[in-house]
Amino acid sequence: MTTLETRVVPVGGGRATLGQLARIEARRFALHPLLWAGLVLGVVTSAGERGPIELDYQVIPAFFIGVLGLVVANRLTVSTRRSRAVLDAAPVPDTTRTAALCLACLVPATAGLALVLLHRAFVLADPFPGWAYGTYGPVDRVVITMVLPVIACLGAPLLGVAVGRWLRFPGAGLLTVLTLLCWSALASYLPAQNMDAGSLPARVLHMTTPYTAFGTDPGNGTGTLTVVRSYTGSPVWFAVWTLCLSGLVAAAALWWRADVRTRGLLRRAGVVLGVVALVALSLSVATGSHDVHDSSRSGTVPVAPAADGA
Amino acid sequence: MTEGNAMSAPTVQLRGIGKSFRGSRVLTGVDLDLHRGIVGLLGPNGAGKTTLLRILATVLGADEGSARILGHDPADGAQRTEIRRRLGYLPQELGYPRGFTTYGFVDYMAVLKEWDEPAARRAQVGRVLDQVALTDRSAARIRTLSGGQRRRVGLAQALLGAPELLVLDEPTTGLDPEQRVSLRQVLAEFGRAATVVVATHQTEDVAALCERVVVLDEGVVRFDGAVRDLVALAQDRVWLADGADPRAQTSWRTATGRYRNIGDAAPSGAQLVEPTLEDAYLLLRGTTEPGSEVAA
Repeated sequence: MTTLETRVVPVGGGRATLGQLARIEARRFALHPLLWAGLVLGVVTSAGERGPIELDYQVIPAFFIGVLGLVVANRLTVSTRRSRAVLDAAPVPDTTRTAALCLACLVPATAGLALVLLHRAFVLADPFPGWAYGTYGPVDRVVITMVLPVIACLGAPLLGVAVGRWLRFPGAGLLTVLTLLCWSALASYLPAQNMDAGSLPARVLHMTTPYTAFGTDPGNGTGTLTVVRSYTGSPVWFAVWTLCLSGLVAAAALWWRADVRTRGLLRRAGVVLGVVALVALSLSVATGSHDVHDSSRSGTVPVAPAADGA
Repeated sequence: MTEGNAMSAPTVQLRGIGKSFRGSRVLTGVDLDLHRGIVGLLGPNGAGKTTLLRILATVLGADEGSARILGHDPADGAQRTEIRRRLGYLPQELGYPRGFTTYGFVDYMAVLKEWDEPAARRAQVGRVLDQVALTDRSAARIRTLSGGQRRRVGLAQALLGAPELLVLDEPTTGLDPEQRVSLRQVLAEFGRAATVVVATHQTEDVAALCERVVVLDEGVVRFDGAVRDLVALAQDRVWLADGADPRAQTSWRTATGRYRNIGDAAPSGAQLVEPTLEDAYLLLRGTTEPGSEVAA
């Protein structure tokens, strides 16, 4: 040990501190083995392969990067609890630390984007036929295959941060993952497969989730893609809805131990996001297709309710 | 405490500080003025030392009384932040986030202490790691460090920015004798320019480091004064004898095989010896009632 040097005074605070903290948290996120595992699995299961049908592609980044990103974000958030005693004595408030963690969620979002772009490169080299996109137009196709996966890769890790901040019991992150998966699976497929998909309750249930599918391969037993089934709802408005949900989750995370002024700002932002989210959700149900359709080389036909129970 | 220090504005001013947890009283009517220099905080387990240090570190609010720390009121949010900018704190138990290296954790803490400029922060982190002799372990993951090395990581983060108030809760726990001596040197340097409060069970650390000692018992200040004044309480009351004296307040067998007896009555054939701080502390613990403070 050596003797002291002259007294030095720290400089900075505010945004500069947030930037530095966000860099540290982003680095921790980027170096986490689970994120890399998700990225590798995502590449292996989609790049260079026709993989799932194009309308269902978003499940790959959403699961491998989004869900695993949720776990990583939750672990990073919870990990600093052990040092609470010294963190509480630091001048930088908890809200700044939470904001840095939220900014670090751009890492999985970027990883998701990279995965999407890689997949896109393969698709451009060997394009799908037009009927493989079902009833969806060009904008919807871009939203489903390129925007929704990235939102999922951002929103799920943000949820991991919020859960890490608010739920203190062991296994809270895992419970969140299971809840999210069950909710998404039920909302994605049940309305289209086991209910009258055109009914209002089914269409609402299909959209009222952080993740939903917009199409699937109903399967013909041959292993080759001959029919694509497209679901109800508007992908564009669903994207706005999930983006607002992500914002609300970030606001919930930032609410944790925030001062009065910050909570005032968060309250206003939350109200705006909430209103926009409800409008977007309503529009996602009201617009877009109201029925399930099957598309093939020979054309597109509506699927009768409970026609095949596929 | 030097005369100059006594005349200068205190770094810490506590008046009638009280704190309870779930109806159990932990601190009662604590009055303290702390100036530049090193203050030792002694007391048995459960005396309220950690609670008092947490109040000084602004991580815990008092239920009663008033506090001014570094000229600010810790009850006010903005002023609390000002205090924290000039404070270093090593808690009794400090856990570390998984995956951090020694450098990474101290660097993270430096950012939380608003060292935003990377070059200055690097220099600062390097300085404190050097002070606690961990430069060669800076790239090691904290989970691979020994208990003493982890303790020094905690100390390093507390030393960041050369704080004006350094609050250390049992800083020598887990350190080997050589490291303890090194730490004393670092703290002695610090004490020239800053107020250092050290809570410990090691009376020899207090004797070696501190000019002033505060003894806390059952949440009450039992002694507040110069170390030599506390030691003086045991003058002519410590005896070395061949056996334990039943009249002694406390006695124990020493490494020489003789017994050290603390009390007013001289055991037969006993030799009067110079008291240590530990003798005086044990005497104080045994002779005063909770709520009574011994004047220095």
